[in-house]
Amino acid sequence: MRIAIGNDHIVTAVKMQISDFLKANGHEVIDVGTHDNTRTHYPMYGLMVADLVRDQKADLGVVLCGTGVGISTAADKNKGVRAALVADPIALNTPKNI
Amino acid sequence: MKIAIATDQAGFDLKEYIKAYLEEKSLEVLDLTPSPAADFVDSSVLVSEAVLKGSADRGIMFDQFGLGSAMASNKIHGMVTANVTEENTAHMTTEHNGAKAIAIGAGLVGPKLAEAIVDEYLSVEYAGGRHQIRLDMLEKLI
Repeated sequence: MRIAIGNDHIVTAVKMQISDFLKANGHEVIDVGTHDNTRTHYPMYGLMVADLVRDQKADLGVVLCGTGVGISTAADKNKGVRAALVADPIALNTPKNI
Repeated sequence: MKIAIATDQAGFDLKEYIKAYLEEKSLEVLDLTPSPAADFVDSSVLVSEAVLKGSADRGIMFDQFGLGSAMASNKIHGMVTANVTEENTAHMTTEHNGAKAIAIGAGLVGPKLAEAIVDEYLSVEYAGGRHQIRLDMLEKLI
């Protein structure tokens, strides 16, 4: 799958772990940033991931920030896209079914 | 502090539990679903309208996983709902994201954890400052 990934500066290292993990599992990763630890703003990256998913340039999106709330809210606030903050895998089936 | 609460069927028992918890602390609770909403979309919209209109200062939405209520209500302009499963997020999202409501999934969060989450949420104020630009950006989306 093609997976778009985006994050704010708080969690860049974690994003890289996930990006590496996804690639190791054979997925294509489209990393929209941010790519370092310089302070930036989560909505921009949430929007970029949402746009890729909506435009079908990515099959799925993963967004990360300190709690996940800010960037998942930003990703969700886009027509044609639904983004969820997922705390546990048992809730994972639900977003696609909503 | 007036707290709007609402739920679907899945969140109903936890909503009742937390409603009693809040009332025992002499907090003013606006129960928008004395009987459960048909759908978490309905219940999350009820809470959103209450906080956005100013009929309540804070909001708590209940459903199965929390994520449905957050996903639906974040589609409303000006609304920021945080799906919360532990105290740290309850604290940080209020302080940094200016969360207007939290969503609690009864299928994931037990009653005592729900109490701790709610306590944390109600004890924190939005910090403003450098966080405001992000909220302004959110308002430019939906």
